[in-house]
Amino acid sequence: MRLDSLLVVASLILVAVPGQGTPMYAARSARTCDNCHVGPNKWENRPVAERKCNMSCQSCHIDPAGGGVRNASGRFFGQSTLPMIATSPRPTDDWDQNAPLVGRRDRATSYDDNLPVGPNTFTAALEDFDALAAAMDDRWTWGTPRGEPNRYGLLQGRYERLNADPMLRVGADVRFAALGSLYFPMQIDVPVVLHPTHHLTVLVNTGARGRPSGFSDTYDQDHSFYFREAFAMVHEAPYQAYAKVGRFVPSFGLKLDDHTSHIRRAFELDGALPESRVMGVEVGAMPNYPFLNASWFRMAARNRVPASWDISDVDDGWGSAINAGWRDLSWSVGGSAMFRRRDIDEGGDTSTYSLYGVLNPWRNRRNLPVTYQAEYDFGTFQRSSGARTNQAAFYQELNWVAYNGIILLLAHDWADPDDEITDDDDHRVQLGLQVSPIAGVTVDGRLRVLLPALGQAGKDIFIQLHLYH
Amino acid sequence: MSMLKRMRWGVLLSILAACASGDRTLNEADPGIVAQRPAYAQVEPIFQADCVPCHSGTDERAEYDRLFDEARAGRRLATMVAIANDDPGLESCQSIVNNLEDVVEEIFDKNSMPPGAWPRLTSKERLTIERWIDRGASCD
Repeated sequence: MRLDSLLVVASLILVAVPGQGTPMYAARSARTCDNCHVGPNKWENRPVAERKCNMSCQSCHIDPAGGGVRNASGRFFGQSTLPMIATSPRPTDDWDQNAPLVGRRDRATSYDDNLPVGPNTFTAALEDFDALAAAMDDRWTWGTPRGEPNRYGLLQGRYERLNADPMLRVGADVRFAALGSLYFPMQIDVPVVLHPTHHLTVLVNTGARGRPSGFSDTYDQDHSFYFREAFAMVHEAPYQAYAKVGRFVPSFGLKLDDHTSHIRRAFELDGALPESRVMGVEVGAMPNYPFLNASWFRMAARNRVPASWDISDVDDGWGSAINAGWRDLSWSVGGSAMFRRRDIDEGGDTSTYSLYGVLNPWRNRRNLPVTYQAEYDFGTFQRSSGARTNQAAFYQELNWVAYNGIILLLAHDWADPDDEITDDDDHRVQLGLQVSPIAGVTVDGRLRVLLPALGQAGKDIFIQLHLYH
Repeated sequence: MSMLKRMRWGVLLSILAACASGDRTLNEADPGIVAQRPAYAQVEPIFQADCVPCHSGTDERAEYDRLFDEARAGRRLATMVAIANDDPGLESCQSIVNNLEDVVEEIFDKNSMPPGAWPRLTSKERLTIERWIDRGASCD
């Protein structure tokens, strides 16, 4: 057995330890409730059907499949927990996580009624709605949806002065990158979320993919700007159930922001590419710890860039994906399957399976602020000749939160894109430092080393400035 | 065999297969996957996707290597750097052909492009370019 096979087997043994399916932020946030909202005193757990607080993506993002524009809870996390300098009270368990000489030392959950607390029941939120709405001080959100607040939506007052349930929200997400002597805009997103009435949301995210050759090429290329996501969604239902229809990336495996990772790029799930978007229907539910997302979709032929603004620009093939598992407080496991059925001319059939998980010992050991996540993908695909063959990819990442806002990471990914072909596999190792000085600003620097089976190893230093709101 | 059992075996075999590594080149395993005489139209998308993001430009002067060699022979370091930095680009067929020696060295001899830690070309992309060059690197 070759070294890479041994690594994969060893990694699988690690994955067999229970893990977590969403990115590191979600896994870490389970340590304390006041990561994501001010903690109401005397809180009593609601029935499972009414619980909104879990480790799944929709706890922080408007898209229940994760990524992109954040809701009030995700924005609160970005202000209170993520950065070095918090602009909301620091969560209780993070009181001693401040970088030296930086940060605030007030607790989000006071337990002594001296600090802001949110309404502790849905009824209280309803009774105080007008007062809470008047106290809002939130740029980039406007109004509230028509009708009475419902018990499955986010409650005003729980996120300090953020508008928990706006009728209109406009976000922004910009990434600039430096790679060697190259400086380039990597990504520009402008998401607009319209929530005209309870239970209905329309999300349109217009984005552009950058090019290393610079700004002009980014804007000049065909398909510079396009609808990255454009869907209508029915939600705010029992068990956090939802259904959405439109253009999106199917829910599958971990949601990574590193779109170059083999576990995304090799399976037509590269979040930066229009080609990864599909047009279809997705339904799901997250009744506290278990979660399920399932989708059925049509897509453009593999490697054909679909029309920028016509989300119905698809070819004849179809696909389906399912993503399910259990996201507990300090661990979770998940599995995904995705099938694409189409003619060879459109890219051929693929069947892809995924096992993934995260382990967050930090929740139980406060002196061990580490989080680990891993995913193993495997399956079959058809070469353009029609021959059927196997492929596999693996990703693992270990984070150490030195202080709030300062994270060291070690990541490794591997892929064998065709198991019949020699010397086409590679390993990539990344050593990174993520610094988030204030809310909405993260600088991510990584030393990346590629070890291809054939030819020279390569390394680079990749620095990314991520600005988001 | 029930459907469920077949699926279970399929998944297990896929995992085991993924841990193994192939021992044939793509040319040996699936020679028909790429046209025997690929046209430039089949090569162009590869260069556009993997090379042009950095090597943009269509400078078609065939003087680069000659000028560089002259500068090197004359030990004119500044000129060498200037020529090396003046990337002719790989955006047109002729500019690729003019730089074929470098292309072969970087893609086939060293497997060092795309650079740094970016994923290298796939087996199919390499085979397409290899056959195009072997058949004369025609721009027709």
